[in-house]
Amino acid sequence: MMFFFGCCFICLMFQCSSPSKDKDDSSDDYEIADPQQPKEQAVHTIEIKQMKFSPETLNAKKGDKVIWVNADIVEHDVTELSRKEWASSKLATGASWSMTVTKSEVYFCNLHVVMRGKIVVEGEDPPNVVESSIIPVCR
Amino acid sequence: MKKLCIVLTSVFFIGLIGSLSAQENPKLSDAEVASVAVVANQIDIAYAEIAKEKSKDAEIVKFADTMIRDHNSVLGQASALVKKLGVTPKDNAVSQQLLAGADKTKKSLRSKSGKAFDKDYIDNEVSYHKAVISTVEKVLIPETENQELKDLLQGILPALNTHLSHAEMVQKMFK
Repeated sequence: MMFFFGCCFICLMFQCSSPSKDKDDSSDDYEIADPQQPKEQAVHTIEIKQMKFSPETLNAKKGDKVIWVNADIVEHDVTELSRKEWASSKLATGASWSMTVTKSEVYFCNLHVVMRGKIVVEGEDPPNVVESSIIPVCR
Repeated sequence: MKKLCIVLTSVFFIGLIGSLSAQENPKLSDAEVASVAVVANQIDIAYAEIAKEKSKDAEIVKFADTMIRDHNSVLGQASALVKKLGVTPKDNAVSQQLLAGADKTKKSLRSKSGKAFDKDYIDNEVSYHKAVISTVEKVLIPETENQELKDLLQGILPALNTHLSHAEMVQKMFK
């Protein structure tokens, strides 16, 4: 009889401790599966040199980080082309600026308006360039 | 008369390039090349300062700001390099001719106002940058002996070409 109750007690203890481990395991699983948990962010560097963005077209994913580094002899900036939705400040030689990719974009240097670059997000169509958005055609 | 300053600039540079290219032996020392490079930058800054005084057009003023900023940056680099090399830019006939041509152009620009000024300024920027690019490529770089000075001259060509494309873009607005 004592043996029976002893076995029951051991089984009960096992049952009680087992969910705790499962919880820990599931907690680990939960962390991996959590969509809110930030994944490792890919980082891309675009060098500004000899009056060009290099690479001129960057293929990236949403959430990736892009860093522009001015390795040129003059100041530059980085400005969204179509409606100037975002822009860096003026970047002196050696300065850098970064942003997180949310969509495909065409950008330019607002100080040297002929300099263009493009970010193409995986699975999206490349953005169109609208020339008239920079300088009106005539006055 | 309308395009006198542009014609003068173009004729001067074409003549200059022709006469210097015809020489078999280099005619400019590195100190003289440095002087020409400095003067050429200073001249475009001077044109831009006139544009900032006289123009009310946002694109003209923006272009002039870029010329002042970029050419000052190049001057800073040139100044640091000649200091490092122990070279003192030496005044020479080419620098003097450049300055004489610039004086005429500045007088012509100062005599204009409004849209006439804007058009002449940007037309002159197109022809000036074309001429300077040719001079750097065909005269200054070939005649420079010091590799670092040669590299600096080659390094400013992309900026000059971008200025030219930018000027041509703005020029289209005034046609």
